[in-house]
Amino acid sequence: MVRAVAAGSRLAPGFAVQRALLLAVLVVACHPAPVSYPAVAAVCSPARIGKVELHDVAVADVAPLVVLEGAFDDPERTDRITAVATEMLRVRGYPHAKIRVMRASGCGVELHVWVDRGLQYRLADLEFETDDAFPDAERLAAVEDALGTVNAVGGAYVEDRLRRALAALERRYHDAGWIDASIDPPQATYDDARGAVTVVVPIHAGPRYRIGSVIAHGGGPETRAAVVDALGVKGGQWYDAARVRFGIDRARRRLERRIELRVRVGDDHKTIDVEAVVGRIE
Amino acid sequence: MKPALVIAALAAACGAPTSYLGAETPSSCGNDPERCAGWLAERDLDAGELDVYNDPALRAYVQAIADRLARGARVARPPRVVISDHDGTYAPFGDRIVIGRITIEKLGSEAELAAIVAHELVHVEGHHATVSLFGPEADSTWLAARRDAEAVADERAVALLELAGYAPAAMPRALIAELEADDDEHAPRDERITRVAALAANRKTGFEGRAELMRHVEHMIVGRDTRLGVAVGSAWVVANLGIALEVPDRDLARSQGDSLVLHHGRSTLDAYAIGAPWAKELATQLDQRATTATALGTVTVGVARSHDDHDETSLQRLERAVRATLPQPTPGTWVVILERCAPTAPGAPCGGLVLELAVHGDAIARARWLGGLRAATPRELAAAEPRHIAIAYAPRAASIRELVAVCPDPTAALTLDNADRVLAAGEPFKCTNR
Repeated sequence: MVRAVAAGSRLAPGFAVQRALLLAVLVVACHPAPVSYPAVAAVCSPARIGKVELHDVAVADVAPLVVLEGAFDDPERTDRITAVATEMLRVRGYPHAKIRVMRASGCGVELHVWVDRGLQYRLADLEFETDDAFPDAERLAAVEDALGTVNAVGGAYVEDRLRRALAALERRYHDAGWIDASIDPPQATYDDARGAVTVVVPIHAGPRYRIGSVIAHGGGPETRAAVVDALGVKGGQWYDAARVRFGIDRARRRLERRIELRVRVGDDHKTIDVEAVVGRIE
Repeated sequence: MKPALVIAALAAACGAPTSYLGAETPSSCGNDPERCAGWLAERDLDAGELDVYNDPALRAYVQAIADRLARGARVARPPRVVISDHDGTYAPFGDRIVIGRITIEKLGSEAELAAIVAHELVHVEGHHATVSLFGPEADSTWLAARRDAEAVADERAVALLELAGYAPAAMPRALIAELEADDDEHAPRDERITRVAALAANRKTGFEGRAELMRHVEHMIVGRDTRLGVAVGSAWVVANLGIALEVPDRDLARSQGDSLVLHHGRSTLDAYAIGAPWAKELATQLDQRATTATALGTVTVGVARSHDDHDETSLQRLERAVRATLPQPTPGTWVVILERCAPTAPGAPCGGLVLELAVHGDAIARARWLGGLRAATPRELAAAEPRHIAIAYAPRAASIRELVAVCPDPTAALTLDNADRVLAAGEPFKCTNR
């Protein structure tokens, strides 16, 4: 180790270089390169992908395709993996990315891969056009994806994922009492110069429904009173489907009876009546 | 999803924290999410779950295999190998490969171990963890991507073995040794073995390295590390922390892996060991927190906190998701946390013992269980010692099934290799030391 440093210092004097050399030698000494074994000859077979050739493509852009080298040639699987690799580029902010894969014969099958990334965009603004009282933070959390890297401001915009998230958000509106709510498709505007995309989502929330009456049927008067008590919801409160479901489960556990839940929109179209039907003991 | 995947995602998605489980995050966390994520995943295993098998020589040996395989793979640098103390083998998000100690013990040669490492290396090379985290979201598409990734990892592993000079025939043998039950994310066991066998085409040319593997696994712990918790006489002993918990005669006791569950009427106690930094963190998060004296010193008591996620930011939700993957008490249960280092020697492992108590007002049961905490005796510590691998040598050419008769526990020895493997005279095979 000392000799190596000395040799280095003659070639390029200076303490910094000596120190760098010493470090390099220490690294080599601490983590020796493993012994190499002679490679085993690969079998060239028309059933196997012998090579994945990238044409001006970074390995990281098509990593799921790169590892097909040596795998069975399964064109349908290759198509699926190409779709996955394309999706990964979209998640990184390339909404118009395209990957082209061409098959050729060589040692077995060769795959040739080209990528057109297109421009990269970041979601600059995501606006919900509505004045309803649904919590803003909950709305944003409902649409963001991929651990906050997609469909969140600063991240990538992936339209089909947002559409699916908005369908789920619409159901959450219904559960929270806006039972007539509807959400229009997102409207995206791309700014190529800034690499930015702004998205507007129109929401037609409609009125928010309150609970009308809370009634229990079946069983004796005491049972019915206990069921209503266990439900834990009262007329006049905002309708909350999760809370009602939780209440009916609590009533079932507490009374150890079969209890059916019925909800119906009140005649005034502003309230939802909750009915719990207690099953008979057989 | 593997716990480490979620943990590691924190680094990539939101910027890594400056410290994690009591340790400062490395500089890579500022500029290299994958490397940072790998560090976080390893920290989780070590400081959170007490799940790193600490054998530097064995780790260096498996690392050398990974380095050799990585030369044929399109990766910027070889991933770091971590040997876990259980049987999970996976490639978390980040530049780590986690190989379970229990995975290693079932293998018969270095080439077979290389086959397992190669499979995981393909996951790293193909960014498969990234695809799982950020890729297709629809359930059926996600599952199809997972199955494709697993199949490709099996198949390309054969190519990596070829390039690294290992006998391709080791690949199907490794799968035969390791695969047990089928699951949704992999093709059925027989199909996987058939496919890699077709690619390997029974090619036995290349390095096999049975003697090399045997030399490196000699003295390795076999099966569950009983120092993390085992019944000894009338006590549950966690030798790694030097702790014993008396198990009253009239209580119903059963062990689930490394944890002990006691029942007395409607009351239950659940005891398990965790990493010291995680124990420290959990102790600070208890509601109604207080301290109380036991025979082992002061312990923290309190009620495990439940979470209200309505007002959380996405980063807070992520952090909570990360924490949820570590072993921890059920929200609302009464908890005792004891932080302790094994008193055997300086540098001995430190950890925490968590006692979850659901006593439904039965203060007597609670007091009795807590009163049963004490230091383990030398005899108990000795009894909790796990079994180790001892290498024997074939006195004649024969199958392992025949040869294990000389082992102290032939039945256990049979689980450590392919019983039908025929050895030449003088070849090594695995026994347990008792």
